[in-house]
Amino acid sequence: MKNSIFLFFLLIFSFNISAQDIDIYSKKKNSNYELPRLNPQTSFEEFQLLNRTLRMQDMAYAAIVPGYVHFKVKDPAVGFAVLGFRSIGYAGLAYVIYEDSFALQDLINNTPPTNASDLSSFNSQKDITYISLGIIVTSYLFDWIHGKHRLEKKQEMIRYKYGLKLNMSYTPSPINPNAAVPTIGLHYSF
Amino acid sequence: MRKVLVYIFIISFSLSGFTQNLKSEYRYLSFVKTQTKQLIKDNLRNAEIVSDQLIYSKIKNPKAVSLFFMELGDNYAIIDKAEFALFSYLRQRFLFPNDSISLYVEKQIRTNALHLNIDKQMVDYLIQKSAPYNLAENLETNLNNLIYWSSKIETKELTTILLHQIDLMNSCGMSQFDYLLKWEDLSRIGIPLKYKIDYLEQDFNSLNLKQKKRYYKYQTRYFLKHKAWRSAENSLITLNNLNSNKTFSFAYLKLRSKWNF
Repeated sequence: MKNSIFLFFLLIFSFNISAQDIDIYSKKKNSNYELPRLNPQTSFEEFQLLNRTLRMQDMAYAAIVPGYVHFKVKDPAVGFAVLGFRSIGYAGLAYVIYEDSFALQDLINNTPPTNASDLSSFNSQKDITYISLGIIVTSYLFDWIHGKHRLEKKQEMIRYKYGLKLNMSYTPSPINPNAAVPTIGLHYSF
Repeated sequence: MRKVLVYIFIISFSLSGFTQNLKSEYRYLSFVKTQTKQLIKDNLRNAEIVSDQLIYSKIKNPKAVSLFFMELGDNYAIIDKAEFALFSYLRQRFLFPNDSISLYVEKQIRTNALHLNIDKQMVDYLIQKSAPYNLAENLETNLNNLIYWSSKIETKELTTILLHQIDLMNSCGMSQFDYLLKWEDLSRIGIPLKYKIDYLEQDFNSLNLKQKKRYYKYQTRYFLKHKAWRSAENSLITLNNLNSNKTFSFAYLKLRSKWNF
């Protein structure tokens, strides 16, 4: 009992710290008011990618919306693939529920009812349930982990590109104008 | 006096901004060349923006710009975009000739032409026509020649860039040769490459019925896509007069024109 009270208080305190954001990291500054000093060549897509971070909320969203993270990091092709994959999982579960031969709880727990006449039918439905649940969970994990990796990679590339260009613009020119050789010639245009 | 000082400041700032852009872009191109292909791909959009600025602005250091286009071509060659590599090398040769890199660029043109299965005679033509002694004095003629010869090695992806160049030329008040106007018309309405040559080589009146019907069909589609309903209707009337056997595609176009979708 003591433990549960202690945990309860701990939870209340942690929510107080970030009361406006259901997240374990609190947001330090409000970037909405900051006007960024962008490189003139930055595209809007690059700007959006640099602005985006994956937070705990997104983890919850990704569980509800299939492919959410990949859509957020502008990888729509993979996002739609995840969506399709997850739909197959949902379709499998829907089939098992619609068939209504066995309770879903029994299928998950692998406990066939005592009066079950057809055990092979139970086993096949159990397999479908397991595979469907596997697809749903793996597609979610893939969406989250791969999406995060893609976002980090894309952001690294953008920062690398513009950071390096900024520094390179201060280095001496590749063509030294003082190294010109004085020449003389005739020019006629018509 | 004050105004003059202000102008001098503005010009000097714009100049420094411009040279920085070219310099950093050139250095970055030559730097990422040795790294992952993904970095090169990611940068090409920026490099194309700078290349457009270089071509259409009066302020330039031709020698540095020629090196920039050479590097751009090399970058395209590394990521296996031979047609873009060729276009970059041709941009360098037609617009910013530089004898110091001429031999290297010539070799690169021949290598990249191999990937596109361009015959040797055409490559020789490209090199000969872009040689310094064949270049005109004004930018407009050189640009026309550049787009003309690039259209000879055209691919579906390159067409978009060439049309973009024509748009830029128009915005700068430059005009195009008759051949290029014809090519632009065909490219804009989206005639496939395999048919385009028939239309370019012949006068429109000497085309057979099938070719004419194809032309108007693509033209109608183009107008419908850009919501030019009146022009689409006119084009459809011409197609209707040509068409003796009405097909399903014709009926579909008519429906789109009628219901504006």
